Amino acid sequence: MESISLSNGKNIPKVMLGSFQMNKESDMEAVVEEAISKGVYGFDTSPSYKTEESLARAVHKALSKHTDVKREDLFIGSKIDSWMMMEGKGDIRKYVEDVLERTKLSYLDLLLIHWPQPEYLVQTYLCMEKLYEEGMVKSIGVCNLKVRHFNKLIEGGATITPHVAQNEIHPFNTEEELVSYCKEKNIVVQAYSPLCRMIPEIKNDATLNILAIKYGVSVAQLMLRFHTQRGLVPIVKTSSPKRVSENTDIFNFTIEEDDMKTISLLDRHFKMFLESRCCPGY
Amino acid sequence: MRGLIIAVIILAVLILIALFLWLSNKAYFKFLRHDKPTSYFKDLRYRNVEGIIVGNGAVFKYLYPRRNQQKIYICTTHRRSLDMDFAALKTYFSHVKDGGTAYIYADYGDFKKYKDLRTPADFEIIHPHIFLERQEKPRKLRNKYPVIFFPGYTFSYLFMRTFKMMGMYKKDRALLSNVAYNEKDVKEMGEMLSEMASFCLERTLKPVILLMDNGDMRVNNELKETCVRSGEVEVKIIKRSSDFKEILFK
Ligand SMILES: NC(=O)c1ccc[n+]([C@@H]2O[C@H](COP(=O)([O-])OP(=O)(O)OC[C@H]3O[C@@H](n4cnc5c(N)ncnc54)[C@H](OP(=O)(O)O)[C@@H]3O)[C@@H](O)[C@H]2O)c1
Repeated sequence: MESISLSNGKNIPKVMLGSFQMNKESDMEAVVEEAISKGVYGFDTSPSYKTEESLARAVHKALSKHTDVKREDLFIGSKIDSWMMMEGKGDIRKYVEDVLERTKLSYLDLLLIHWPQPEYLVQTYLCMEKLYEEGMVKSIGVCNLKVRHFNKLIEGGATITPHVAQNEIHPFNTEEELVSYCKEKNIVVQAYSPLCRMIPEIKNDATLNILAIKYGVSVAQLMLRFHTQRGLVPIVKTSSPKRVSENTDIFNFTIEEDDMKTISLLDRHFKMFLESRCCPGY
Repeated sequence: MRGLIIAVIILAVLILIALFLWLSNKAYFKFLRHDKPTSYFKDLRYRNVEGIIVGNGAVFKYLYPRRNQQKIYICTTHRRSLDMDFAALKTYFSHVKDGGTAYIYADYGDFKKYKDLRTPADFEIIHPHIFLERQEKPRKLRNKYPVIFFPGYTFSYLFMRTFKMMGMYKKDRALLSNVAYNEKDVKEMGEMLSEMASFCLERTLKPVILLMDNGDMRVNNELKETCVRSGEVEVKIIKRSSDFKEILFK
């Protein structure tokens, strides 16, 4: 699969696979195996999903089978959770060392702050900058930030602009302001919950269904293509190997400009993950 | 024989008391489950609502949670410190749309009375990270059996909830708090309210402070003055129970 360049010259795949609520090890193995055999090399995890180890095990297994694929071809991102930020008072080095040990990975391609825990956002980010300079992580970034949080990082003395920003983005929440801010700062935006978790309201949305028929694709494919055409990297989760193919086979059609606008008009600031409920004081 | 009868009676009374306490404890959690905000992930309603209200005491008595076509997210409770009201605001404000309103109800009397109070409801309703950050551990046993550890609080909550359920608080009533002015307390409360207001403004929410009418005019005048200093803050005085509905659902 093609990739996009980050501001530090590293490459990130155009579509990545998520692992939130991927509870069964057998599903993880099957999905990772299918992904790697299809050339899909980007994976997202987090300590709170409890999938770091199962993902790593599945990756190691798939790599031993597909000897033509190297670790360097893959892009694995994990996160720093709020409790780590609080417990370490921003010094999160030991958690990163720990995840590398547990997953038997020598580095992470991307380390993200999961939620901007107000008291420790800046300290944590400054610590991540150090880990990045030491090469323990190849890129750094943030999740769920608004522009005001980015300003806090700058005021707090951050010297490296985040390489990646991961936010909840789908047709019901297009995050125009954040996306244009990131574009201006050369930050690649990852769209999480890119299918809005396929809740009935989105699955049955008339506009999306009509457009999906027009392009001869599924509603999921239409939404994922919408993201990639906006220059975003969708992180989509599926426990089904069949859907891995469906969700990544999205580059053989182009959504017309007018239809892109029509999809954007579905925006109603609807979020699955309400910020303050995940991160009080957000 | 007489001794045996007395022992049996004492035992029966003890059993009845234990049963009463057990049922009260159960009823407390049943009510609380209803009063507490629902899981945002399972319940997809209450997004981009017009406003949120936090506060305790009178506002809790006269408002029903989530019974108003989802316009105002009601996040009030019985006997909560202002500090915990702030924590509740921090936990729930994302239910409100950008530019929406945050109503903060505060009563000077309650502020003084419940300053350092932590109820089991606080640990149920407020995000655990707030306590983690303050290194405050929820005491499991105390939270599980409030009827034993907080009898006054639990029974007053049960009475109030029962009366509320029976519609006893529907009637319009004049509200007045008659608590003596104390410079230090008023200053402390004013600073906290102003901090809450700044918090809202930074998040593009419009803060509206609702103060309970007080016998001593100095209390609310000074509170008002401190709050207004933090920016575009509206301050309203609640004189009657019907004022809540008028302000919130007009
Ligand atoms: N940074 C953060 O705060 C954050 C928060 C949330 C998520 N994330 C990341 O983003 C990833 C994706 O987000 P998400 O899991 O919330 O939501 P999502 O990817 O939008 O949706 C996942 C849901 O859609 C279904 N699905 C996937 N492909 C489908 C298809 N082609 N047709 C129909 N249904 C399909 C999946 O079911 P099946 O599994 O049955 O296929 C699953 O129920 C997560 O796994 C996680 O890695 C990050």
